[in-house]
Amino acid sequence: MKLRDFILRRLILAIPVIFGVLTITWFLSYVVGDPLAMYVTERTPDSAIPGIMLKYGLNRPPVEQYFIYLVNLFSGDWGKSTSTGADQPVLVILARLFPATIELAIVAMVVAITLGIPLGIISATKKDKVQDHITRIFALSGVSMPIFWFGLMLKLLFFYQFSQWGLPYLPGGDRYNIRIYNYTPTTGFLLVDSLIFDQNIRLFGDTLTHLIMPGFCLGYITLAIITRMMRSSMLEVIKEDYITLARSKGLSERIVIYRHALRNALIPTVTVIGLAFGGLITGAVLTESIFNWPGLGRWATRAILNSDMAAINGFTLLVAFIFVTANFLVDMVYGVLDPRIRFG
Amino acid sequence: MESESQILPESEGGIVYRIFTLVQIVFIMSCLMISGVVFFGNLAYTIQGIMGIHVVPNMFIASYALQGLLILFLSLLLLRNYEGILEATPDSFGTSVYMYIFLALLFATMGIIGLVFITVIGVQFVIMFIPSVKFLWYVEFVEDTKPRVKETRFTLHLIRKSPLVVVGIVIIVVMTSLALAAPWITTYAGTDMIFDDQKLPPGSESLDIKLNFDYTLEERYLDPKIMPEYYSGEYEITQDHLETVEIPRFFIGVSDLETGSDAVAVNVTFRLYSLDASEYEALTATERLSYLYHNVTLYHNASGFNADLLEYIYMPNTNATYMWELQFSASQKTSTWVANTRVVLSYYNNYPIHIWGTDNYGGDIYSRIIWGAQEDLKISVSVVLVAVSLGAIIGAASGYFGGKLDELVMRITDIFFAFPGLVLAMAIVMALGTRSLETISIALMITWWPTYARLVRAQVLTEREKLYIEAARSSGASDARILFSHILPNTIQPVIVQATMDIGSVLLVAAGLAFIGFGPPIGTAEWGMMIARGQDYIRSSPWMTLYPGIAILVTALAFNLIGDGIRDIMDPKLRRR
Repeated sequence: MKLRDFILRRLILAIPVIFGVLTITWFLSYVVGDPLAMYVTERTPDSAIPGIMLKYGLNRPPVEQYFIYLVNLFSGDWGKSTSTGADQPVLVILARLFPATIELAIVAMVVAITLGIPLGIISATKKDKVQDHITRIFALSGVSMPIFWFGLMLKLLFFYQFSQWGLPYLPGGDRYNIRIYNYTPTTGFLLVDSLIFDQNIRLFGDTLTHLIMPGFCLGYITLAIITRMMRSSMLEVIKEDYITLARSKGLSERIVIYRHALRNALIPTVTVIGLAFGGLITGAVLTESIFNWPGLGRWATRAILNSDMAAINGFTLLVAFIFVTANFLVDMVYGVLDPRIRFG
Repeated sequence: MESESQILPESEGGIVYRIFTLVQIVFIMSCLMISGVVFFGNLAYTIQGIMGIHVVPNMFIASYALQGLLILFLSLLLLRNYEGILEATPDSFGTSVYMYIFLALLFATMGIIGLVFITVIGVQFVIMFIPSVKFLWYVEFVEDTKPRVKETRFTLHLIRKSPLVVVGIVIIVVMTSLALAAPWITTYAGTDMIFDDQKLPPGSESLDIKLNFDYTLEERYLDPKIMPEYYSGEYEITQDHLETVEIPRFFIGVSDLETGSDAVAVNVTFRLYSLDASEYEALTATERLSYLYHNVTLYHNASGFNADLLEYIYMPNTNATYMWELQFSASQKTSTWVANTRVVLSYYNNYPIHIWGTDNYGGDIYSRIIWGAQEDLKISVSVVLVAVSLGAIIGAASGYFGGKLDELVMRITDIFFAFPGLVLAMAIVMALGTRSLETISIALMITWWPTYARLVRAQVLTEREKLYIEAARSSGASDARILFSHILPNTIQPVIVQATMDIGSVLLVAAGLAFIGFGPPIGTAEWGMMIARGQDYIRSSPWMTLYPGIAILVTALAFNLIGDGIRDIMDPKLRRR
């Protein structure tokens, strides 16, 4: 099978998944939940309700409602978020908040990859030694860490306690220091905007320091997963014949590990990295509300507290789309890296 | 297998064997009846509940639904096995032994009714070991179990050798026993809120005080004919009474004294001596007076003056023993007196110490963590159990039958995998509307089953092609039999590993859901909600978040350690060199 066919096949397979996602969200919000809640707030007079029912077709048969729902979604009407004060359309809010979350997720991913891969290599090459045990416990505790608690503890130590002790402390919330800097979003990605569009190096630095804690907090779980995966795939690769051959050729251990073993061990790790991206978006829900990060997660948490059905629905859909896309990309990368997958 | 069956002539089994078959069928039938009543009764109540008829089920029925279902299942298996018993197959006796052990464990959780059934099981066990029955099965059974025992012993040996698994198991055992022992080891109830004790640091004493009363005499009616000359008693002021904010005090109350139509004048005297009972006995009345600590007298005049004797006597702030006496004396004889008489020691004491501090509602963190362990373990274990059973059945059917069913199931799991776990659970809880730990559990069950469906399906696909399945099929075994007796037992190991680790992750996600506000509104002790409650006060009182977080971390870590360890132990490639 050619690569092009492979990609096409995967794309076609993704279509039913997308429709399934749409159907589940519809089922949850229109059949199990109360669809009227999406369009009605406390401020809506009772007399307006029949009109709303008629306008959005809530009194029609379910099948018809399902198609109305699909049409609405594709025409960009994702309902109105009642918890944001001015009842803004969900899609607008999503577009506005999306960059902040993605920026955080990318930083977390960078943290996880740059720390996780070396740790995994160390753990595998020093198997059953002290380094290995420490790394394993570190990785396992990452998987078992309640991320919201970890964030709170980081904030307690590096923000509250450090500022109390007069040490240089990390900022405890927000994307940048709102009191000092003015910022008008261009792309919404603050790091990009400050460096390229505003050319404000100090804002860039400020943004970076604001990213350290939430980025590390969010990245820790992924870091643990990557470390574990890297360790086990490295251990498997080291046992292979070609590594023994490389060693017997008289190559130094360094070259054997980093040239020969690492490249092959990276393939399964790449998959895990891709799949973990979805996990990062989930983690963002919890992290953002702790670090007061103005992204999708914090917004979704507030929407939950206010029983804002449309907001949750929109958020779920967007996250599912991101997840499906990430999985798709992983498949692609996997297909490119490991030809056996394509022909299998 | 049927091939080994050896049908014995009736005479060889003897009377004991026939009694055994009779007892067993009666036992099976009563098991079926009780479990049917419990399970279907509960089902009916649940349906009524869903339909909005609020019938409160009998406690007996409500708490035993799960046990009922399991017993129903086991006794049906036992009934199927009964055919073999009638034919005196050694195999079926062995199966009965296992079933009895499971059933006894289940009945052990069912209180007094369970005890009756356990006794019956015991009787059957005894009969099975009577020589005239024993020879039918025992030797073969031991022969059969030998490799299994050896394998189990080897697994235990491997577990003992890996320190991380042992640590994990120890943590889980400790956590579970703490959770079960919660009523005895906690100093407060999980829902207690002591408003005087808000945000106290760890180790601080409770500021809320409690007034206690020790009644030493309480008498409503006094019959002068049988009344002693005086009431007396010994009272010891102990350390318990002194651990207080105020010193303890005696309270003597004689009120509503009424001498009926005779209208007699009565003297009431209360004396308190600093003597103990033996010293008191040794002395005469006048000698005692030199040890008098306190003395009150009331003259009750018959002509209308009707004051009550209500007196507080403050005791010195030291441990000591006192004798008290209360005397009623009248100048002339009467038939009845009525008086509300009591002698009480009242003292204050503090509520127990707050080992790990309190939260902003005055809830004791330590007690709430222990009570929360119950809730959290209940959620995570039940979610994983339900998800495993659901996923195993769906995945096994899908992998075994293949074709369109398989395609459909896989597409559905694809859709479920398109959502990150927490987000889908969020959407489900949101749609269900009610915020409670039950809703969280249901949402997580719906979210989690596809993992197991995939896992079991993949296993079934590889097992299906193996030779022994072919053999079973050619010997005429039904699909259900092949699936449940041959394929599923061989796919169980990766499922166990996954399930163990998932208990940890479910715990994290459930706590996360409770943290972002899906838990019940207030009160219930749950770790995620405790952290949520503490996050606003993290600067001033960090202990509110610190301890529940450690509890989550340690528990989840323990499950992950076990899962990680038994993955290596159960892996056949690594098992034997």
